[in-house]
Amino acid sequence: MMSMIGRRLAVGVFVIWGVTTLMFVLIRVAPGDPATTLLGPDATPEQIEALTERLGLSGNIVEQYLAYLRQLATLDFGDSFRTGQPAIALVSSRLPETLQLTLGATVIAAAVGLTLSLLAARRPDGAIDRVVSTISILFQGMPTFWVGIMLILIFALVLRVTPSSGAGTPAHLILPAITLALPFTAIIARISRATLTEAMREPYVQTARAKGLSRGEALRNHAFRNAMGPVVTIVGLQVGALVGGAVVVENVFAWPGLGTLIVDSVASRDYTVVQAAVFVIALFVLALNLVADIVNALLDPRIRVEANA
Amino acid sequence: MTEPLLEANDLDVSYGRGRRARRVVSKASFAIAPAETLALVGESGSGKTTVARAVVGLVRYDGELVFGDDRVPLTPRRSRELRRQIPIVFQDPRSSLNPRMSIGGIIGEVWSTHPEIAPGGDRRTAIAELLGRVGLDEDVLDRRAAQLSGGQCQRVSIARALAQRPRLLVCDEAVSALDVSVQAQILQLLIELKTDLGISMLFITHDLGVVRQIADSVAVMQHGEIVEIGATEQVFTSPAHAYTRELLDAALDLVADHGTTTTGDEQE
Repeated sequence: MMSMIGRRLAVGVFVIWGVTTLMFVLIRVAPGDPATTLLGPDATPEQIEALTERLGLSGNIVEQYLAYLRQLATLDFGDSFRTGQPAIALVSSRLPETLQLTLGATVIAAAVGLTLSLLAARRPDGAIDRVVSTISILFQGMPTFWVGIMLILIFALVLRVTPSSGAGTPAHLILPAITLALPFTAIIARISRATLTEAMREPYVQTARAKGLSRGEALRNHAFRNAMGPVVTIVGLQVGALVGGAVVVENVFAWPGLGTLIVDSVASRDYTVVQAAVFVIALFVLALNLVADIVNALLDPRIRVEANA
Repeated sequence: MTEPLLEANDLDVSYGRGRRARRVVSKASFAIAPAETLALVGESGSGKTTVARAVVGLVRYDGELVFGDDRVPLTPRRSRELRRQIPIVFQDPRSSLNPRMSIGGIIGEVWSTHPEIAPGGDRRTAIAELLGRVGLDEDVLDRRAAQLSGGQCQRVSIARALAQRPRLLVCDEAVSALDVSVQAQILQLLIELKTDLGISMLFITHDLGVVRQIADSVAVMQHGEIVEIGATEQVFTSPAHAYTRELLDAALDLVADHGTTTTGDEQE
């Protein structure tokens, strides 16, 4: 187990390096440059050149990259081009909001998705199963930004039961969390339904049924825990993707998290903030994957036996 | 002739629905007397496992399947009490045991499902006794399937079936996945149980050698139909159906092949 964790951490360092390098290149390849954007259309070439110099963007790209790596090694991301605050401070001030949103969405998706899959797996290909798979396809197929707008229209404007956007009270979390949760709910429902149905065919579940347990009892007492391994892995991987979805959802609901920060920073070519934010997200995703692997190892008695041996 | 314990009349089983339905068992009729062992033989895909699944209530069927003196119909929605009396032992020893549960938990669960037959005293002692009955040490009680050998797992499956105090034990290729030596031990155990406890058995297998050791009568299945049924000796010595002769010849060829290696005769 410890060697598995060690290996993962080593790979993680490479992944972080890859992600940050890719980000460094991509944002510079994109048209427009920070000095021009910051100074506006009326700036003189001299002003632009002076600012470019001051932002550390005047050397050639290799020099810039090496300077960037040196900073990264000491976890120094530089100051925001726009506000002059340390980039990492801006990012960490927004991080709790995004975590709150993703956590809320994960809880909703896990609760609803698992419930749907348990209902469906009782009778594969039965009526409930068909309804659940239709719902799943619907949830997964609807674009997030559209769902968000529809939910605002229905619940905030027509029914007036929730705030339409912004943050501050728990009620503000409801609509964005649901929006973010829908496709994730569908994924959990489908994976879990598949692994549960498979587990229901295992001889030990068949034996349990033959010996007198009802479908529901066999599902809960025998199939469920054995079917959860792959689901935990997928949830771990998908929570990472959820952060990506959060970028869209946060912008629809004006949620003051990392997503809105990244979009604003990209628009104003605030390189340092974008780089810091992407670094933090990559770190977060890697940590989640590691946690999913560890939980999976703890859940699986076979893996545990090998670890003891 | 005594009243049969289990009687199947014109048993039909299909998988899938509507136009995609495929009939796998067709007009199967047989009977098993108390303390009798009926072997159901045939190649893979002949429908013998499906018959076993119908008997233990895991598939829907058409036709008649009745049990006991009262001739209770054995539908898939049968009572818990009926399910208790007809346990099944599957082919794959390891996957027949929940990988997350201890062996003690697996056997003990029978008594949570059927409290009316739970032993009065200490559960652990009762489980240890059952394990002893199938030739296992008490110390497997706290282990899991992954820590046992295939033969040990199959003994646990048999102990679990015995915990139900069965009247009819269904064995679906119960010794087929085991090494030859282990196979012989498990077979010996089943023969002992059958003589000691007077349990009836429905023994599904493709191995004719096994049939001869354990079965009182044999039913031969081909393409979902029972083509021949009769006392074991009779079927083996004077097979009536061409397919039975084919099966027997194939089995004999195997024996002959083994013979050549011992006598040293060259073949081809």
